[in-house]
Amino acid sequence: MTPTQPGQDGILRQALELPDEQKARLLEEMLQHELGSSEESNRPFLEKLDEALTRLESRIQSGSTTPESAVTRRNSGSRRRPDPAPAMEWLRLHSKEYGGEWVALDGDRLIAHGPDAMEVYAAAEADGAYLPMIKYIEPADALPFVF
Amino acid sequence: MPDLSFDVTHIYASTDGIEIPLVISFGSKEVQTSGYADCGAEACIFSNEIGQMLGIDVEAGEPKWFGSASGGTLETYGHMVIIEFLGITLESIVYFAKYAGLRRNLLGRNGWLSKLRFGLVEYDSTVFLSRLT
Repeated sequence: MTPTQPGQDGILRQALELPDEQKARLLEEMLQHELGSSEESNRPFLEKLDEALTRLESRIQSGSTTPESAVTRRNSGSRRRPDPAPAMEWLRLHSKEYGGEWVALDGDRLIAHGPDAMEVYAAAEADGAYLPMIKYIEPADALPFVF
Repeated sequence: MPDLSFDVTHIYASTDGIEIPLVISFGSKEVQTSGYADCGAEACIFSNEIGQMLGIDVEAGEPKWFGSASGGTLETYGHMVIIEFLGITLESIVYFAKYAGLRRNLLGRNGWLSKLRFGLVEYDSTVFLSRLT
């Protein structure tokens, strides 16, 4: 692993000392800047930024800042989310095989499946995949849905 | 003619509805799943199981009964959550079913459609979305 550049570390430390709102704004700008860079040597710095943002969002969720701030920040695209497309494509191709079951997917990898939602969820948690897609698949012979 | 523009275009692959992949969060817990856009649903209704995965004490929420097109009823409890989908994030009340077994999650008018500009071309399996500010 390439060590983080000292100058970047210093900036990051200073950013973490700021009030939450300013910290979030600055870290987000730094993250977006680094995301735009193709230099692989910046990877450790990028990971630290992302970790800092995740910690900050956890604090916001726990109530130290208003929920609207969390929404605003998430709308700015600061948080990396898994691309749901591979999971949705897997579901399109394989749903008929798992009708009436819950499935947990890490992209197009099936982690677990079964009729008990919480057992499937526990298996997905144990797998360690980040934010697996968890979904109930309706039986193939289910009547058309109208609530 | 009205001139509409949208921030997001999404082609839905499912043939059984307008399925939207999403992440739903409550506190520090979050689950990636999907919901179906439903202009006929008054609110957002999610399965009890998703509520459990989020660690929600479902029955501690705001109780609300919903009626179905067939005349049936559904007992639910509302909780404030965050829903992220297609790059859009909303803070909304979602009603979780009291009992397990709801076949799909519904993205209805209050809490979802009411916070969006929403366009649909069913023929092309395409939805167009923008968040209202």
